[in-house]
Amino acid sequence: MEPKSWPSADLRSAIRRGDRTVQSVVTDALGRIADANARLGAFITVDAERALERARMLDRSEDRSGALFGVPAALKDNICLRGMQTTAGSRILQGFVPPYSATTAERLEAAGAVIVGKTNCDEFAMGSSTEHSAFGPARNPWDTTRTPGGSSGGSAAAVAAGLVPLALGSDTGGSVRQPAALCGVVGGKPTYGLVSRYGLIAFASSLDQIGPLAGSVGDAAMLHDVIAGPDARDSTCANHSVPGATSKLDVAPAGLKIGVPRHLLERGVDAEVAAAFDAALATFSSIGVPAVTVELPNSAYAIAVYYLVATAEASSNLARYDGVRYGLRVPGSPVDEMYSRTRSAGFGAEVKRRLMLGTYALSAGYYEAFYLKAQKVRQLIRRDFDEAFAHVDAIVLPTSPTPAFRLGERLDDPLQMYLADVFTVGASLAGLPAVSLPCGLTAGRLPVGLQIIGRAWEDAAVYQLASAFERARR
Amino acid sequence: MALQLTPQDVARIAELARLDLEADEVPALARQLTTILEFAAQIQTVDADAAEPVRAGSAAWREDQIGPCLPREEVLEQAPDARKDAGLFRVPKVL
Repeated sequence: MEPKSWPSADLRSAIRRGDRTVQSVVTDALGRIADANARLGAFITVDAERALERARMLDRSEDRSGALFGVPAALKDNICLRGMQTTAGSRILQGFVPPYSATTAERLEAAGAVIVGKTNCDEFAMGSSTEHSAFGPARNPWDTTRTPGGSSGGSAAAVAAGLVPLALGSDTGGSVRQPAALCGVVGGKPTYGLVSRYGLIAFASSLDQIGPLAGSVGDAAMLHDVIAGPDARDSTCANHSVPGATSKLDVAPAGLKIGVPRHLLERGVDAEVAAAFDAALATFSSIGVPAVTVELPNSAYAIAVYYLVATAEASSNLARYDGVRYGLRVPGSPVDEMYSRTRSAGFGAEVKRRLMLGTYALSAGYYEAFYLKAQKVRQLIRRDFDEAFAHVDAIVLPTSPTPAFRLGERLDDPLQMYLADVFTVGASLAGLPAVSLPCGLTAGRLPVGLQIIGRAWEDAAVYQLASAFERARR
Repeated sequence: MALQLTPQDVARIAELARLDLEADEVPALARQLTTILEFAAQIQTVDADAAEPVRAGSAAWREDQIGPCLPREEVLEQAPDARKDAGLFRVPKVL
């Protein structure tokens, strides 16, 4: 039986009318998770007691106006929630219970959501398959011999399987969009700076963004609006507001133009993904949104740039995991020995690989040739997008060159795994809003995702196009 | 740029990253890092002299005002070793 996501609209009205209690909904969610988690590995932590206590409190509350009142939700385990264990998918944070909540978690709760648990992810968000979690892999609900993608694979699997209607993930080079595509759900990465990173365990600070995962464009847009907005606690969070992702969902897209960088699709794209993508372009054409060819010449270097910049920033961000203040400490003396023993025992192979890469790219003698050069080429990649956006309102691509791959298939060749990000890293490097939504199934019943990338701050236009596509396909 | 990471290179980088590597981890890591860096080195062929390196975000200034902080006790609850009475983390000798 194929997985079905859990739409939030009927649920929210039933709760508001009093037809369902929050307790019954949360009990329902906890039951679904209990039935599925051994098979899917979607959750690292489930806190039933806390969720039910919150549900009881909400049922007693007179004000039921929150946008997400009573809705069960999940957080990727690199987003801090006060009082709930946070692992970032790693052994190095064992025992860590955050003394504070991320801004996005606070906003979910302020809107009335009930956070039931923390979802599985690649360690420190480094991966494209959720196989690099220290707690075992997550599996794709469409075929449990396959990965759900990563690094937000747990959140994507939870939403795809209908365990919760809504989840948050984080996206640095595609980690919300790619699992959304592989699991047949909607996943978005906001414009860089639109959503606060306060309380997100940092991987690459100039790239990381928290984004929504849901079963429909409307639900993802609603979740985006709940978490977006200025936050003084994150200095990279813009302090101006922009129109919400839900603001143009029902506005017809006629007159908008989309661009396709055909030169990026010449090789390496699975035939069924290419066919689904062409069918998607035909759908856009049928609703008055024609596609033109655009060029993004420097995007050919996007993966190389990404794996230099992101790993360099990670080597700096992960320096704090040293056994001093929280998490794992492996004894050693002097303190340097404690640092390296702790880090060696606590970090997995993929994290170590990326830390080494990043350290090398920043090291004396190599900084200019690698890190600095990568940041310059990144500027060229941004300019390509700006130039394309003079002619089109959005750029579309398949989200992933292949459908979900089998567990274990890419573990021996790290570079092969990195190439899975080829269509998603560009929007990350350029800080642009991007959404992945389902656009078909392969003959083997595996989901294919379509990616829509918009101009900076025009998240509303991206969701508008996504919504129109979803309507056309209904 | 011809790149071939030697075991000594790997050892040097590991030390900078404060990672201990087992002897049997080094050859595979040297190979994998070499492959990835060779792939990444293709950016050397790009003419990017006219481009400014990307600097994410803008320098946002604020007044240097004391505001609410995490309570010290709660933070020290997470410490592997602490002198809670003195409000200190405890570590092995530094020198």
